[in-house]
Amino acid sequence: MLSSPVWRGTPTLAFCAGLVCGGALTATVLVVAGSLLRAPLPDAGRWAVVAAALVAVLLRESGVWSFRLPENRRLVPDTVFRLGRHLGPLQFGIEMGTGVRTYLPSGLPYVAAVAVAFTAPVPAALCAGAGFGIGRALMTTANLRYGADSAWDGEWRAHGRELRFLTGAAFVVPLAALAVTASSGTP
Amino acid sequence: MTHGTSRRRWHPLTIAAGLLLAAAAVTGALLLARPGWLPPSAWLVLCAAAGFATSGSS
Repeated sequence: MLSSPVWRGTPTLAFCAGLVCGGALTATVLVVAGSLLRAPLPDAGRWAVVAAALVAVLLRESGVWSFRLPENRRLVPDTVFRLGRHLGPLQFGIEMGTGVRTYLPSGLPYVAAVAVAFTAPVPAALCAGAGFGIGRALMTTANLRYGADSAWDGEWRAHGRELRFLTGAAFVVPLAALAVTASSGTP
Repeated sequence: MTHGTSRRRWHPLTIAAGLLLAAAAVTGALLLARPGWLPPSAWLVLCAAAGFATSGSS
């Protein structure tokens, strides 16, 4: 789908804006639902839930533990483009940015969802959602600019192990810092 | 900019390494300085890493 001529110029911006909006939408739902879930738990209990989810997903990502995570196993249909040159990519971006309308081949977004639901205040949750959309926009932008056909996807497959390590570290390190600052009582 | 430079810039490893650098920077600042705007920045960076990690779906 990324090779379509629609992925040039301003429609790409509409798509990226949709990704960020979709991520923020999911984060808003998570923080609202999470405000009920986290209410009976102390701070340490909330972070214990996040740590448990993180350990389970890291074991899964490293191949030690095999289990399926809930996932909408389908592609966003081409029919979204019936809305026009900009609204079509915008809707496609929103659907992909929510993280619940198409494949989600990494476990890290599930940990992020648990962390947002159990620990994030509203401004942080919105930043988390926007960050998820930016991460997905980085993928599509790089894919388009890297070269023709599926060269970028080939590089991803060729370096899958290193990429899992780098993205995992980029996820875990700030999450651990947030847990430390939360436990020490500073913002 | 040459074609080779462009390919290196947009290579998945380059972007993943950039995300890790951003994560290290925001973590260092968060643990050392702790200004109020940094926690949302940390959330943004860690979730950007999570979003980029889903790239197999393209």
